[in-house]
Amino acid sequence: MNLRNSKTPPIREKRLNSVQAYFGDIAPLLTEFQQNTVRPRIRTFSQASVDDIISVLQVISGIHQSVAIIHGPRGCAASRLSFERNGVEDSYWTVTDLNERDTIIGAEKVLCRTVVEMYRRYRPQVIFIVATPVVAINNDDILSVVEELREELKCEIVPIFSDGFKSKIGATGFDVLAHALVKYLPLERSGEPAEFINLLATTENGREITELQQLLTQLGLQVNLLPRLGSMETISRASHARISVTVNRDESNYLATLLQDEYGVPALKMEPPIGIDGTSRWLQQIGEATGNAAGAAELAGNETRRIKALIQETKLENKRVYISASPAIAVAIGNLVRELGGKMAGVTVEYIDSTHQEQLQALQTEHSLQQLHVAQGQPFEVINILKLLKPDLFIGEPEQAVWAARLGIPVVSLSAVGVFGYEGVLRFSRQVAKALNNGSFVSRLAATSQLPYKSGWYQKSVNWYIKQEVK
Amino acid sequence: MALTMKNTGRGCALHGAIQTLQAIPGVVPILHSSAGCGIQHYLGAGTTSAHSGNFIPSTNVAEKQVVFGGTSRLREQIKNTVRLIEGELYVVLGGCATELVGDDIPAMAKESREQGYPVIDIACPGFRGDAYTGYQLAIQGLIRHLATSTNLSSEAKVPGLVNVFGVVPGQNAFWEGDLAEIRSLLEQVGLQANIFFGEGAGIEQWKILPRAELNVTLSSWGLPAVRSLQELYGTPYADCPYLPVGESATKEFLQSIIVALPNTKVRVEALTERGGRSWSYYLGRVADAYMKNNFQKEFALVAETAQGLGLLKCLTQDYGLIPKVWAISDAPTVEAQAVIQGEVNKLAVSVRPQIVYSGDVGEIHDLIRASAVELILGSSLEIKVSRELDIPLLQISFPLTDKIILGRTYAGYRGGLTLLEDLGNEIIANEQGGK
Repeated sequence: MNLRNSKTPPIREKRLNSVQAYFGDIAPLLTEFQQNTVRPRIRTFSQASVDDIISVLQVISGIHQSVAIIHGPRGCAASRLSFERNGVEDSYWTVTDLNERDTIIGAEKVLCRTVVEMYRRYRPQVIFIVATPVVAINNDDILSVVEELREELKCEIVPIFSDGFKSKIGATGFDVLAHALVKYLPLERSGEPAEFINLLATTENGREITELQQLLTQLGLQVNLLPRLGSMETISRASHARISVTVNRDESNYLATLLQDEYGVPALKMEPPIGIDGTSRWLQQIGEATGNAAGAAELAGNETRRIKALIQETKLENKRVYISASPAIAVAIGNLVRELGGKMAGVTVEYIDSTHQEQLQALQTEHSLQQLHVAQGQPFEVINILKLLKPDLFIGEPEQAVWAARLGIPVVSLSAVGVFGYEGVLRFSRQVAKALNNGSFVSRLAATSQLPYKSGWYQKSVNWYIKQEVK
Repeated sequence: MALTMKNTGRGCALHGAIQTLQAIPGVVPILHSSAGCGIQHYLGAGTTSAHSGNFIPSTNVAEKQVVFGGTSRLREQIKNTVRLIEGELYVVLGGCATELVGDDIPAMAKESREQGYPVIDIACPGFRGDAYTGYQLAIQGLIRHLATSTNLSSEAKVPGLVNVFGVVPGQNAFWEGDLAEIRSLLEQVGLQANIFFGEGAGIEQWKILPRAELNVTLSSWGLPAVRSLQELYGTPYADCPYLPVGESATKEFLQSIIVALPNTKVRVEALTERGGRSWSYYLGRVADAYMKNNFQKEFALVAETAQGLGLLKCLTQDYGLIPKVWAISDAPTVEAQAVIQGEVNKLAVSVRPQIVYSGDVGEIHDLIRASAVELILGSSLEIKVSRELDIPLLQISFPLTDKIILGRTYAGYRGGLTLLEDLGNEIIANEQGGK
């Protein structure tokens, strides 16, 4: 990793060969990854899409005793409102509200005053400065503000160099944040390896994380939670944990890798704890890495029996299910659907990269899928697919699920359910049953909804607006 | 050095324009900006009005376009949007990134107009101002476009047709219900309301706009529009700086309409009499509960100007509550501030609230703590402080992150009663919580 030399990590397109626009056969795309000949694709029509800033804001809204200063025009902070409910109460924020004049003469002074005032008010343990497109384009000198005030205020100040346009993949923001945390915070170096393990949380909801934590506690492990739902304390000591464990590796791998490379904390390479088998495998991996394989196997066995007894019958038997999620999550949910007797009818992943070759293979062999759709946002393409495919159920985040619902397809909205862990299996199967037992809301919605697209679009191929980039 | 913090989450000019245009069925905004701008708006403003709009076309400019210019990407996006998305008018909105690098957006819109597509552009990058600025830029842009592209000015006025401006979609979370109630009030006095946003609206409403007999603005944010319409089409305007909430304000509003339309027959008396009678009936019904639960509270108000003034009039003049503090959360001009002071001085009560202009939650909350109030009317951001003080909170203003508002309104006679219901429920819930 380029931690020393660079303010930001390489964007995912460069670091992982990530692709963000694709519809077509899985096999040739897999070959591109295997042979390292991935060709960049772009859209000639696109719809608004999550960027790195939003990913950053989502994670830091859950860090205790922190202040976030969004350094940009006020709209760059708008999404922070949607994290208000799921964030922690002692995470405060403000925006420097850059105006036309600031964009011309620079805004270091405004930033400086804002940092001082937010420190005075809230006495946080850490202040994050989140950069935005205007700041990135004008090359505002955030670092000198940080240097100047860090000593004066005796408070950690972390500049996060998000920019909103260098990567097309919003998840790059998780990397940008991880990079900033490890580069600009003085993580503890001294001392013996601690007793605890790092549990890396990013966008999961609090209940899911608590449940996973409880499982780990049952294995006799002490859990150090970060960055989301953590604090300066948990972040600082992450550097001497026994191991780092990810929940959603698509969001946390970069942080785990940095902690491994810089501080020697082993990063477990793991798939998300979703589904009965997925969660059991996750537990067993942790058990093996911490010298308690037998305990993990026993806990997994007990939980598996408990959950299976509770799910006597599943409504998913022979149902065709469409899944939309980030790649590792999507395949893990596919496995859960299969556990419950269902079958994957198709999949949209937000992006796909060189770390997902096993997933691509699994989609073909274990789930008998030929085709793959890669899109972050872009509901116009998803609707085109769904109209043709007519799945029995759609599983995805609410902003995608709503479009399936408008077509009359029953949906399970992921973040509203909380699908991680054993309890997630129960919640999920219950929600599936509800969605399939009464589809009257989505039928009504479909009958009354006008989709925004012209009818000609549905006669075109899904990848009509996806082109290979001309360099 | 004084520092004005901004942390109420009200969006930027671009967001204001997006939510204004998305409130007009048939109008399709096209963002020429970095990818997140549209989603920031969706996630931010979307929390308030339960509003679906993550399909917004956007060029999602990448580093290449920021460095070398993005006009060809925009050309391609416009061409494909008009083929793909249903719409009667497409409005290109440039964001900060593309405006900073100087993309010639008007040229791209003009090019597609020359090819026969209904495409215009409105310059409203985020750094131009707040969401209210965006509302103003958007409606002014539409008015300018209609004035130059159509020849409507010569057509005769429609007797009794009244254009309604000043209710800002999204920033006032109750905009749909409020506009429906204003329509209903105007229709009940024999006028025809021309409402530009929400259910039943469309481009047609904008096209008949020059034919109105009167323009009404229900906040200072509509003033530039009604003034330019006066210049363009000679239409007079009525400046009503508040949303009419409850009995006394609604009556006052209707009377100001009569004054503004001296030559048109407006039958106000029947409505004010009917509305007043029904309102009085329910006032009698609620009296016991009012006493039992002590509705007469000293309160703090956190709200934009127009909505706040309306609520203030109703709560103080109709319901006898005592205003202690009003934090005005939009940023009215100096001219508008003088109007606010005049309206507050006019209130038929002996206690007047301390007024602060602030978009700074920390400052607002300190003020609420210091004022020892018994009730807050504010936004979701006041949840924490209301719990801390253990006093009821009625959530009425942006942002409403844990409320669904569809057709709900506090405007008019019935709205005033709804206000009392909601307010009473919060007071009772707080009392019970305390036991």
